[in-house]
Amino acid sequence: MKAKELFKKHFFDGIVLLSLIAITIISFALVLSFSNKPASSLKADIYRENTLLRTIDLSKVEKEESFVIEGSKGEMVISIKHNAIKVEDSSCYKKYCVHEGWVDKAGHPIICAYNSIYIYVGEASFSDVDI
Amino acid sequence: MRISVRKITFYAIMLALSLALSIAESFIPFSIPGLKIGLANIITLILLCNFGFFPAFAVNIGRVLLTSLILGNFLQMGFFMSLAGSMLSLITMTLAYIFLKRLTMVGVSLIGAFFHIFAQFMVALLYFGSWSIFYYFPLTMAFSLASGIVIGIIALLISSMKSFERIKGNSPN
Repeated sequence: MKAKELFKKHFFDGIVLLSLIAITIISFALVLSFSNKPASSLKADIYRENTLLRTIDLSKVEKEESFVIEGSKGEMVISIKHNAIKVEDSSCYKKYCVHEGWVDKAGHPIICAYNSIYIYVGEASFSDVDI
Repeated sequence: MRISVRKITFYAIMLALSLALSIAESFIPFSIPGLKIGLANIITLILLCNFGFFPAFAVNIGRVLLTSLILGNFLQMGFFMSLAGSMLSLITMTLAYIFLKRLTMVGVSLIGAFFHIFAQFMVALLYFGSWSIFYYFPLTMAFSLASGIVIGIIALLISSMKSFERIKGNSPN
């Protein structure tokens, strides 16, 4: 009886929950279809806010190397290797960007909100890379 | 305009509580940027459903401003994400509470959770100008729905407590 009452009371909450779960599943399917594609040639665009700091052709990187970029509040150490990039260290205190580890799939971004750094990883075209 | 001492005290306690919850949960580590349980939303939900829009709005905006000053991200991306998220979720929760009478606090909380995340992603989209940030959307949303249910249930339980009824009865509204 109590369970029936509870079901009746929260029936419309359940409808809201199911609709939102449906939206989540659709967005998950969309994300899967647009990202996580292993590509033969990857590039990384590093932005600070909306300014493009650097574009790297990751497919042409042969050995692992690191460099420092200036974020809005401090420095970040970026490591690159063949078709992969990661944030080695960052001045932010939560280190979400560092925990991402090596990113080697197109469409998987790395974000450091503290330093306003955004790294877009995508398939490289012929004309848009520096290195 | 006269505001009674009781009113000021009550809202100040609510603001202090939501601030404490907000700061406390900022120390909980998650591996996805911006992922939070949103414990302070318990206070917003209780205020909205028991005392109306304006107390909830005042406490919400006070919390966002003070939290950003304490955590040191005032007028930065995190602050704008927080502000947009809390304001859009408050507005949509108010509309849901007024117009969708059959929803309980759990349903209202779920709607708030969804629009909170939606607004935060929109701010991040404006900030970075790339749709690929939506990579994090499904996971964040799934987490947000789960926390929305928990927060709704906690708010519902607190609001139906006898001692809370007494506070509500004595409250100046």
